[in-house]
Amino acid sequence: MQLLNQLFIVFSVLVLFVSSENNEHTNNWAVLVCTSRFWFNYRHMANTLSMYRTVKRLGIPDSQIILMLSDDVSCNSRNLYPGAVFNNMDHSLDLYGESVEVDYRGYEVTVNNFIRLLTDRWDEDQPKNKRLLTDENSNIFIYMTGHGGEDFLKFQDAEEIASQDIADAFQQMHEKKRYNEIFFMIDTCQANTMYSKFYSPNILAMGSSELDESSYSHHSDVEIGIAIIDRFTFYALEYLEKIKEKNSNLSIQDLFDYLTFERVHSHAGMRTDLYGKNVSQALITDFFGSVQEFLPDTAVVDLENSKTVLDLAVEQYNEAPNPEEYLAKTKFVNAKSAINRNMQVGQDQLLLSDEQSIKKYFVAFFILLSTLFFSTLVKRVPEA
Amino acid sequence: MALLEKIVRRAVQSGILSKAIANLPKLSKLCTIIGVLWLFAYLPMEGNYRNTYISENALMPNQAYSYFRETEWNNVRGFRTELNKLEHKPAKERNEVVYHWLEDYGLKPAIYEHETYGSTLYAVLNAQRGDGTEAMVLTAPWFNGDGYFNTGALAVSVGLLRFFSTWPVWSKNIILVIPENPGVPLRSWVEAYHTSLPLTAGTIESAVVLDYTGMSDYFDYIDVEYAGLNGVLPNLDLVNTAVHVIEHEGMKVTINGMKNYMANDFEAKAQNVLLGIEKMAIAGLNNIKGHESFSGWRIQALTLKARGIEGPFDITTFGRVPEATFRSVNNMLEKFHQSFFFYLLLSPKWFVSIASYLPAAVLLSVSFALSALDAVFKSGLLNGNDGSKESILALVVCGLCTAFSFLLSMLSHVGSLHPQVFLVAQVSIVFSSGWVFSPSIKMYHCLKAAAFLYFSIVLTSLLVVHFALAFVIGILAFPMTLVSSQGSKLKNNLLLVISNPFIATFAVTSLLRDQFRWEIFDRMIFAWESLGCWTWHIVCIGWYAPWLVVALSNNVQALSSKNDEASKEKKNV
Repeated sequence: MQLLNQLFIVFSVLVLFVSSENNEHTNNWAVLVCTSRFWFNYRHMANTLSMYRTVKRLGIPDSQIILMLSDDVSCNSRNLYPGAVFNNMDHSLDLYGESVEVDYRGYEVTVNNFIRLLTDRWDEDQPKNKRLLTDENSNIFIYMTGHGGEDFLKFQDAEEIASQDIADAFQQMHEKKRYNEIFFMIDTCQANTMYSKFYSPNILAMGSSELDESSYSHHSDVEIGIAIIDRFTFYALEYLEKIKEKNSNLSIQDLFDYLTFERVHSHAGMRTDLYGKNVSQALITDFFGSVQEFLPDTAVVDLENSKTVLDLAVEQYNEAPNPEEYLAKTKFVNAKSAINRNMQVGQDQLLLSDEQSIKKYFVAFFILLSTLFFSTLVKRVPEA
Repeated sequence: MALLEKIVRRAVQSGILSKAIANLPKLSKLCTIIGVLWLFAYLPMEGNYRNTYISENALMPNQAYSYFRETEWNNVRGFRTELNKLEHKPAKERNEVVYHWLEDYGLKPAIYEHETYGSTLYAVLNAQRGDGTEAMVLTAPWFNGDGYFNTGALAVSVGLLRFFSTWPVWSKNIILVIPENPGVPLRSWVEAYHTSLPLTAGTIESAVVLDYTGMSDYFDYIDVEYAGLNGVLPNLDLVNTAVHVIEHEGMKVTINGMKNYMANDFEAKAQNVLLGIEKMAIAGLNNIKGHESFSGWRIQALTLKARGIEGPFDITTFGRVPEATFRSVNNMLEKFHQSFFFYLLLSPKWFVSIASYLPAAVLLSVSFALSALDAVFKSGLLNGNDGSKESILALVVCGLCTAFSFLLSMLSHVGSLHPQVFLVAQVSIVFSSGWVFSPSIKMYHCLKAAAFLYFSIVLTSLLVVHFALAFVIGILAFPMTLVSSQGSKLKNNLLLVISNPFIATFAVTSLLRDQFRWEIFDRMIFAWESLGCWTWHIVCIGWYAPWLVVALSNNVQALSSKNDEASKEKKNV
C-alpha cells in the first residue's frame, strides 16, 4: 500500500506537470483560406470572410490572422452590391464593410504559398505581415474552404493540395516547434478525407462531409443571384455567435455536437486521436479567441533590480579599473557591442530561460527520485 | 492473330462471306432501314435519351430573382402603344423614333445602313463595371419571320433595355438590334458588326431573338427555336438555360414549333426528333426566325416566340425570360464551351448527344458504300477481268458529271431558274439518257460503284457537321441504289425520278408546306448568296453529280438485254 501510495503521488505530479504544460498557449493565430476563384464561388469567399469576422470579434488581432482570398467578389462587376459581401440574404452584416486585411489575394493563393506559410520557409524579403510568426506556445486555427475531393483540395482551378501535403507541413511545424495546438477546420466536399493523413500531435480537426459525400450550400440570395454560404460554415458560425465573452466555457465538442446531419445535410467529422486530451475540455476560445488575460508572475518580484549574469558582467566591466584587461581576462570578446545591442532583450531572455531551466531541473529531479525510489522498492519486495 | 485467322477460315468455310456478297443489296437496304429506325424508333425509347442539365457552373439560371414585372407594366404598355402607331410608317421614321428613346435612356444608338437591305437600328448598353470585351445581343425585328408587325417583342425589348440600364450587375455589354426583319437585314448587320461597324461592343457571346406579334397582353406558352444554318446549333447550355427560365416562370415550353405541347409520350418524342431534323435540314430555306442570322460567328443564338393570346401569362413574363437568360449568361466567365454543340432534343428537357444519334447517318453512308461494293463485285473487276478501260472511263464520266453539277450550281447564280422547266428537264434526263450514253454491263457497274462511293464519301464527310442534311439527303437519295439491271425500265426510271435531288427537294419542301414551293431553288441559291447556307451546293455537287452518273448509266439493259440474259444463264450454270 505504501508503495502504491508513493507511486500514485509521483505519477500524479508528473501528470499535472505534463497537462499544465499543454495548456500553456500564450498567443493565438488564425489562417483562413478560400481556395476557389470565380464569381460562382461567391459562397467560399463569404465563408472565409465570416470566419475572419468571427476570429476578429473574439479577439485575434489582424496581425495574427493570415487571410487568403483567391478572388475578389466584392468588386466583381456581377455583384449587385459593389464593395460588399454578404453571408445571409437578410444583408444585415456586410462582411467586407470594415477594415479587412487580405494577406494573400488572387493568384497569390497557391499551394506553394500556403505550405511556405505554414512551414515559414521564405526568403528574407517576405514581409512580416505575410508570415505565420508562431512559436511553440501558439494555438493556430486553420480554416479552409473550396472545392475538394477525396484527399485533395482544389486551389484556383489550377492546382491541388493533397491531404498528405498538409499532414507533412504540420509535421514540419511540429518539428520546428511552430505550434502548441492546431484546430483544423475544413468545409469542402469530402472534407473529412483531408485530415485523414495527419500524424503530428496536438492537432484537432473537423470537416464538413465524409468520403463520397458533398457539402452543400445553405441558401441563395435572390438579389445577388447566387448561393452565399455553405451549410457547415453557416451552422458553425451560428454556434460561434453564442460566444459573447472571452471566458466562455463552450468547448469544441459542443460546437461539433451542434453540427448535426439535420443541419449540415452531410456528416460532419472530427478527428481527436492526435489531440491527446478530451475534446470537451478544448475550449472554443482556445482557438477562436486570443489570450487576453495576463497573470502577474509573482516569482520575479522586482524586474528592474534583479540581476542577471549579463548584468553582473556589465557591472564588473564598468567597475573594472582597466576594462580592456578585464575583457581579455574574462574572454568577453564582443561583450561590449553585445551589451549595447542586447541590453534589454538579453535581460528578458536570460530571466525567462533561467525560470524554465529551473522548472526542467525540478521535473528531472522528480523523475530521478521516483525511479530510484521505485527501483529500491522493487528490489526489496522479493526479500520481504 | 491465330484466333482471328481461325474465325476468318470458319467464315470462309461456312460460306458466310459469299452469301453476304450475294446479298449486298439486301444488306444495304437493311442498313438504311436500321438507320431510320435508330432515329425515330430506338432513340425515343425509354433509356436511350438523357435529361438535359446545366453543364456550365457559372450559368446558374434563375438564382437571381427576375424583376421585370408589375413596375414595368406601364412602360411596356406605353412603348407598345407608341410602336403600334409606327406600323405603317417608313422604316426611317420608325428607326428615328426608337433611336431617340434609346438615346434618352443613356444607351449609345446607331443606325447601320445597307443599300439593298435597308437600315438596322442598334444600341449599345455599356456594362458599367465590366471590361467591355464581350456582349450579349437582344434582337427584336420590326417584322417577324412571317411578316407580322412585332409589336409586343419591340415593346418588351425597349422596356428591357431601359430596365437593364438601371442595373449595375452587367459584366458584358448589351446590344439591342432592331432590323427590318430577322432575315437578311439582320444577317448583314451581324456581318457588318464583325467587319465594318464603327460602334461595337466586343465579342458577341449570345443572341436572343424575340418574336411577340400583336397587341395582346397575354400569351399561352413559349416556343424555342435554335437550329442554325449549316448544321450549327447553339450550345445546349443556352437552350437549357432558356428552357429552365421559361419553366421556372411556370410556363409551358416547346421546341421547333411542336404543336402538341402537352404530350410527353413516345410519339411526341419521335415527333420532336423529326421536327428537329426537319428544322436543321431546311434551315435557311424557310422563313428566317432570327437565330439563323447569327450562325457562323460562334454566337449562341435562339429565338423565343410567344404563342397564343389567351393567357394566363402576361407580356412582362415574356420579358422576364430574356432578363433571366441575360443574367445567367452575364455570369459566364468564359465562352460557352461546356455541354454539347451537337445534339437532338426529344423534348425541352430530354436530349441525345452526337454519340447516340450519329450511327443513324453512319448506317446510311454504309448503305451506299455497300451498294458501291455490290456494283464492284457485279462488274467482275475483282475476278481478274481486265476492267482498266471501264474503270478509267467511269472515273472520267464521274468527273464530267461533277464538273457539270458544279457548273450548274454556279451558273444558276447568273439568272433565276424557271423551276417548272428545270424539273421537267430533270425528268427528261432520266428518260432520254439512253440517247446520250449507253454503257456496257461492265461499264454500267463501274459507273454505279463510282457514283455510290462518291455519295457515301459525301455523306460521311457531312454527317458530323450537318447531321440532319446528311441524313435527309441520304434517305431521299436511297431509291437510286435500288436501280438494277434486272429491274424493269419503268421502275428504274421512276426510282431515278424520285431520287433526283431537285425533284425530291421540291417534293419534300412542298409537302412540308402543304403547297407547291416553286421558289425553292431560288430560295436555296438566295440562301447561299445572302446567308451563306451551303445546302444548294451540297445538293448540286454532292447529290446531283452521283445521281447524274447513275442516270446516265441507266440505259444499259435496253441495248444489252441479250447479254444480260446470257450472263444470267452463265450464273445459273
